[in-house]
Order: sequence, then C-alpha cells, then structure tokens
Amino acid sequence: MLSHSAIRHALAAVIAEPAFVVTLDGRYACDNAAFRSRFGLCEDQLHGSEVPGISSHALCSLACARLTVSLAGIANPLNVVVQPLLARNLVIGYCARLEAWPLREAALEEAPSYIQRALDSLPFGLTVWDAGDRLLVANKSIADLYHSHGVTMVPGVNRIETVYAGLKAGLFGAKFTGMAISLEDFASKRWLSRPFISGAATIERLANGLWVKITSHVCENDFIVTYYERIDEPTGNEIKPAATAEYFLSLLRYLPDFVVHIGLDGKPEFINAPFAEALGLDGWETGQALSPEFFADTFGTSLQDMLKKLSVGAPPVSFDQRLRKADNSFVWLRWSAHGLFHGDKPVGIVATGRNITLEYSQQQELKHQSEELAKKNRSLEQFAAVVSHDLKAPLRHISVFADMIVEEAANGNLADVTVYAQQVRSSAQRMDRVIRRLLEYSQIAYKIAAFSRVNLADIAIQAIQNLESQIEEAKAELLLSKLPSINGDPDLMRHLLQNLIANAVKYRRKGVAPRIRIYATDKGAMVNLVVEDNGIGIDPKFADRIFTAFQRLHSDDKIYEGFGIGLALCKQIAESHRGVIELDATYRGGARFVVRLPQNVNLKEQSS
Amino acid sequence: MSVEPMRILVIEDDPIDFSLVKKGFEGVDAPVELFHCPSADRVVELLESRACKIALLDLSLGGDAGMDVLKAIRADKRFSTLPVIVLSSSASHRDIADGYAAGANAYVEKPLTMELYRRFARAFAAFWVDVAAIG
Repeated sequence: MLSHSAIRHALAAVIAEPAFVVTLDGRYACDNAAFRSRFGLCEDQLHGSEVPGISSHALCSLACARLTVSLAGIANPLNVVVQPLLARNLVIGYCARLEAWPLREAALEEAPSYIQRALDSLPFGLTVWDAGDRLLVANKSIADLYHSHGVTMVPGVNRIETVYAGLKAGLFGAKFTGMAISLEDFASKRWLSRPFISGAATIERLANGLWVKITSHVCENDFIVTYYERIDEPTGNEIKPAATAEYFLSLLRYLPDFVVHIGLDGKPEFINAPFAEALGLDGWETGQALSPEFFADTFGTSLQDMLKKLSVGAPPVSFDQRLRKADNSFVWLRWSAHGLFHGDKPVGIVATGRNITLEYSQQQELKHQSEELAKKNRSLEQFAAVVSHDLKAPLRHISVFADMIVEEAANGNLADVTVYAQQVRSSAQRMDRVIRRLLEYSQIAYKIAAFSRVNLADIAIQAIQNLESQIEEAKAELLLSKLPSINGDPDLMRHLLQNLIANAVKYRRKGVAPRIRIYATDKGAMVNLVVEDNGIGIDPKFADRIFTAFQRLHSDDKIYEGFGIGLALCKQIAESHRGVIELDATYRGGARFVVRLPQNVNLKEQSS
Repeated sequence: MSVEPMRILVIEDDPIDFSLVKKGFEGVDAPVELFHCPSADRVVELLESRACKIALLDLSLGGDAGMDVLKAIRADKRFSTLPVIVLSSSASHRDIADGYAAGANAYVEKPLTMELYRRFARAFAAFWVDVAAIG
C-alpha cells in the first residue's frame, strides 16, 4: 500500500522514541527502528493489523491523548501518546509513541509539521482524498507538479475537478490532446470511479517528458491515497497499452486528415487536433462541438440516417462536404465514414475527412476549361460554315459573272458586261470583308486571356480614341461616366467596348446625331457595364440570335455589315471573364447592351 | 407540255443568287413562273398565296434557317408532300445527308457558271415539268 519505507525513514528521522503510525482507518501502517528494537519486531511484521481504539479517539480531537492499546504480537498493552498526523491541517493518520519515554511537549506540538515535512521529503507525489473526493493532503512533490501547470492543490479541492484541470492544462502531455470533453462528461468516466482505480496502476508520461506510475488505493472508509512514482521509460508488457495509446494519438495528431469518433448520442468522443483546430475548438472546449446536434450540424445528415447506411463489413460511406472553418474560410472535405460495431450492434461512427479543396478547384477549373474548349470547338464549326457559305457565295458570284462576261463578249453583246464586271468587283470586295472579319474573329476568339487589374474608364477612353474617325464622321456625342476597376484582360475588354461603341455609332437613326452613354452600376459582386445609344435599336426577337457568331439578320450586308461577328466576339469576351452580355429588350430609345462582369473573380489559374 | 407555267417558290435570301436562278430558267425558256421568298418567315404565306407547286430552297439561308424551313414545310400538313429541291452552296456529305433526311426531294449544289445554271433549269424542267406527276 503506502510507501512504507519512505514514511518509515521519515518517521525515524523525526521521532527518536519508539513509535508507530496508524492509518485513518485504524490499521497499523509502520513503525520506526526504535520501536522494532524495543519489542524485537521485524520490519513490516505488524503492518496492516488492526489497532483498535485509536482512530475513534483521535477523530474527536487534534490534541494529544494518552491511551492504552493492545497490539497483536506484543504481550502487554502499551501506554502510548497518540497524536494525529496533520498534513496541511488535515488528519492523515496517527502517530503513537511509547509513554514510558519522557515526553517532550514542545516536540509533540510540532509533530504535525514534522509529518508534513516528512511527506514533503518523499521523492514522489502523494495525495489523500476523503470520501467526498476532497483533498486532505498533498505533498510538495505533487503540489508543485500541479502548480507548475497553473492548478492549485490545496486541501479541500475536488479530486475530479483538479485532475480535469490538470489534463486540460496539458499536465499529461499529448495523451488527451484533441479530446473534446466537458467536465461533466469527464466526471462520468468509468476510470475515475473508486472501484476502477482501486489498486490499479497507470503509466503516464507527463508534459515534461518524465514517466510516472500512478497508483491509487481506496481505503475502507472510501478515502483515496494516490501516489506518483517516477519510473524509467516503460518497455515492459505491463505498461505497453499506455505507451501504445500515446503512440497512436501522436500519429493522429500529425495526420493532416480530420478524424472524428462520434458516439451514438451524436457527441464526438474524439476529435483529432487538425479537425479541432479547423472547428476552432481547443480540444477541451465545451459548447457547440459537444451538442448532440454535432453530427447533424457538421455533416448535414442525421446520425440515424448515416448509421442506416453502415453495417458490419460494409464499405465506408463517402461524401463531399463544404465546411466553413472557424476562421470563416471554406474547405472541401471528402469524408469516409465507418461504422463501429460490438457484434452487429452499432456503437458509433469514425469518420476521416481529407482536404480536397485544391483537387476540387482543379476539377472546377478543368470543367471550366473543357467547357471553354467545347465552346471554341463550336465556334470552329461555325467558322467552317462561314467559309463554306460567306466565302463561297461571293466566290461563286465572281465565277458566274466572269463566265457571263465571257459569254456576252463572245456573242459580241457588250451592253451588260459593265454590270457583270461590277458584280465581280463587289463580290470580290465582299469576300475581302469576310476574310477581314474572320481574321479579326480568330485573333480575339482564340486569344488566351491574361488577367490583371483593369480600370474600365481607361479602357473605354482607349476604345473611343481608336474609333475617333467614325465618331467624328457621325458627329456622335459620347457620355462616359465613372467606371470601376475589374479583373480582366485589358486587350479583350477594350475590344468589347470598342465593338459596342462602334455598333452604337454605326446603327444610328438617319439624320439623328448618335448619343452614346457608357456607365456602370454595382450589383453586389457584379458590375453592370452599360453601353446605350439612341440608334435604330434591335428587335427584341433577335435578342439571343445577335450574339451567335456570324449570324446574319439581313442578307444585305451593305446595311448590316459586320453586325453579328462583333457581338459574337463581345459574348465570347464576356464569357471568358465569367460574365454575360445581354440586350436590354425593355429599352426603347435605341439599343442598350449590358455586360455583367464579376468584380473580383479569382482568375489566377487562367493566366497560367 | 402544260399550258399553265409551273409555279415555283424560290426561297433564297441572297438577291444575286435569285437573279441567277431566274436568268438560268429564262435562258432555257422553261415553262415556269418564279416567285421570290427572301426570308424564312414568309415561306408558308407565299406558298399558299402564290399557289406554288414546288419549292427551290437555299439551304444556307443563314445559320440553320434553311434546314428549319425544310422541317417546317414537312411538318405542315398542307405542304408535307410538296416537292422541295434544295439548292446549296455546300457540297459536304453531312449537309447532303441532312438535307435528304429532312425530306428534300433532291439536293443540288449551286452552279458556278451560267451554263450550269441553264443546265440545272433545263434538267429541272425536263423532269419536274415534263415527266414527274405532281399532286
């Protein structure tokens, strides 16, 4: 039980007279050498035997008392002076000295402090707790250990609270790090109960790296005596479980994945450090993390639903989750949930979550790129269609009219030759225009956007400067309002604005000077860039078709020359900025184009 | 030979191409009367009001419009059996197959010389006017 030898040494050191110590429950604990030699006893001979009468007496008073006690193995009753042993003002046992020896009252009065000093001189920690789990005594070694972690150990403090505070303060190192548990839950732990701890020794590694063996003894009166012995690093089988547990816990701590063990009540039994950190828990915090709603809150599905999907031997259930971390940032997690079973009865869930944010964004980026590619492929098809029609038509006309010129000339009929020759020339000019447009389109449509911070006002001014001659010729009036900055490709944005302004100048009403307004409105994360004119406007039924590449609304391209291709480009540019372009069909005063662009879209990946 | 000239609706958005077709028919003095339909949305109206017995359709009427016109004609009970001869600038196998699949009675590539226009007009008249029975 108690470390007799240490107490004995202490006893021998402070009391010269033959004396013995009786525990609170009235049992013979130990004696000093003087006592043994007086009665010819061996060491520990009387240890554990009952010493009737002492405890009942001594409980009444802290003062010294003269008593006659009978000890097993000693023939005659002994007259002794009994004195309670005090540690920090609490009785921890009794010291009995032979009365035959001259009493030294002064020394007697000092006995309690002798005992405390004796306990304090022990090389290991010792605590005694009463039946109500209040601290009776703690020696210097243990009090210092707890004190170094900010936990006060004075007589009267509660055992569970003190140990919990010690754990939370990291007294036992890594062992419990990451365990989200409240004091309440902690108190319910089986391994804190008296039947469990009685006589059991546990091996722990303290925060300072030292290993201790903690042994507790539960006395008959439900007092608990606990002592901490320093030991070498454990290697034996006996302490293996403790070391193994520590080893696996440290592995979990260094695992970047999130690990959580959830009990049937929906509360986490264990959360590893990375997950606790992401949730903003210090591993011991109570509150939200410990609510029975924890599972449902965290995984967006009820525990019961999840358990239904899990059975013995079934593969884990995998699902992706977008988790808002404590710092308000988001991570994508791919969870894998396994059921824990006793027999075929579910007892909990262990889920591991891997951070797939990077993979997810790459996946999204790939998706975006493949969409872009598909779009470009469709444009290519249209390109081919244009080559087969828009180029072939004038070419065919040239061929036919040239042929007709030859025919007429052969017949000597020159009257219509000039008309046919003019047709040849205008067809050639039309071909030239188509080829120019195709070149322009291919340059813009296949350009890889390079994003930077772009001031739209600067871009608009450049676009206007490029259109100076057309604007002057049309006597167009331009109203440029304050424009914001966006993330974008300056060349592409300039092209977009230039196209819209050029259209506004071109499709003016006869005899009315074009009036073009360029302005922007904020719509949350989006910027609405508006180009508005007082021109001939566009029939709303064409609102979608005008943005299709090479869509011709009118075959007479002398009037509508270059109409479709420019807007098709604008659409491509807007979309490459993850925006959209629309014709405001409600506007009646002319044409109003609205380009909606995200203000701060993160397009870093695109520029690479 | 019929006394009445055959009434043909030429669905063609390009005015030059229409004039070439017209010239081709005039060059062979075919017994036909041509009506010009310059846009897709007037096809049904003109087929009915001009009482056309046959249609010449430019398949490249701008985008998919020509193909849409063909499908619309076939979907319309009144014209589902109307002979439609496609005139197209495209000689691609896909366009030809698509044309027949959509219900064209013949697929002709637009000619490159006036002589070929006349040859088309002659062949057209020889078959559709002189030989074929039309409902």
